[in-house]
Amino acid sequence: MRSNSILMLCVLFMIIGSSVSLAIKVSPGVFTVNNVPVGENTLLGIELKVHNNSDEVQQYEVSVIAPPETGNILEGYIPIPNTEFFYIEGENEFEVPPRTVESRKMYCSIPDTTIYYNQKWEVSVTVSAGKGMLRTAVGTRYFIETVPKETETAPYGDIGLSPSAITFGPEKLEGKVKIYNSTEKKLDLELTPYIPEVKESGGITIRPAVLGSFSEALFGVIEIEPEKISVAPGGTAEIGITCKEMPEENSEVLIKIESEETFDFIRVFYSAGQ
Amino acid sequence: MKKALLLVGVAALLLSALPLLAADLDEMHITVTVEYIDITLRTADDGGDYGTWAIPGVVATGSQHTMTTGSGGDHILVKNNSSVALDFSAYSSDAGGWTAGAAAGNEVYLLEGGKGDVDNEPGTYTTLDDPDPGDQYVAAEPANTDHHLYLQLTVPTVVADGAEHDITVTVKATP
Repeated sequence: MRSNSILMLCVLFMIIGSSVSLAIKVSPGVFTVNNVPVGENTLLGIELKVHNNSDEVQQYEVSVIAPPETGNILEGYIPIPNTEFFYIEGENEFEVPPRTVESRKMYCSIPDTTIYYNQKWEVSVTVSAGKGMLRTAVGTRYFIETVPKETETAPYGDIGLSPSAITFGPEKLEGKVKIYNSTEKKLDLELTPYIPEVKESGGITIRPAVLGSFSEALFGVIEIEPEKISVAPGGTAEIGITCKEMPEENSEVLIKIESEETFDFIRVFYSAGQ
Repeated sequence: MKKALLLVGVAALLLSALPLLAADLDEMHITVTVEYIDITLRTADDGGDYGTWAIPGVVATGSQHTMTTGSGGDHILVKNNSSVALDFSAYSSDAGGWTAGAAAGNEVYLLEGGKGDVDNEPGTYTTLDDPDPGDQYVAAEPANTDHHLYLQLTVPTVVADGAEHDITVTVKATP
């Protein structure tokens, strides 16, 4: 071992040969999939596409990662509890010929356990390009929502909602949601209908996706009882949601459930039917 | 394997969507919010794909090396070709026995990165010592914009050998 007083030879290269492109394009960048079954191996029906727009064969590597707890998680979602619940077909390392798009099927395989109903997870796929010393990579953001269902056990996560989504229609204008507090602190929760904000600049806003469209029509007729509720650690509470008037069109709003430290939401749909 | 009935929609087009029936709401449904993520690393003058950052010759232990400024400098022009704002992070790997740390030390190097402009280094540098997804050095770079990335490397203060070392650096974009 040499000390600081001796000059060391360390030649450091970050090399990309002229034949390797430092460009990467991956699609889709962001998607939300709702009503993912529990206890099944489910083909999602959307493919990961890696675009090689260069004139050379390119090397790629794919990996599935759960976003860090302290990272940029979309409000209302939590990191996927196990990255094995989401996977991409094929080898993790592969080559793509020039001017070609490589497609890979994506799957969810969620164990047959009641706690995994009513979930909202975020998962990321890292696709990196290149084999040289400088590489580019993309981290996609995929949001997975499992089937909403009334259950007797607490869903996975600090806050559990059972069910996590309610559908109203001409024949059903009331519903109940049970809230589970799986933390060690009392939660003082406030519930309000909301439509996630769209930012005016910078490009597309990442926000909870909708099945149809957010609608002010439903926003104004949803009643929540109570609007404020406390849930003891390890305890439960129940709220009622009523649609006071029937909107004329299909619509959706979210009900945010927040405390000083937590945030979650319930999806509320209204289906006018045909 | 069961293939559930699937509805796929593109968020930007759903404002005039077909009416959703109650049955549809029970089916698996995919909404694509961002079609693609697309980035490119170019030379500082945008004249071509980024090539080499070489720190040649004999360097002192603990010495610091920074990418150079100017349109002819060896810093990196990072292009966001996507329709969404992106957070950029970076991480290093495969350093031939060295590890990345918060400070240079025994077999430990310090890699830092930051956003400057074509003629100026960043005011502050971010330490890049975490693995994938790495450390974020700039947040919410708007869609279809470029930024100038500067890397700064401090070599270990103590090494076991005088051999050549290569460090792999990955620049990563996340919406």
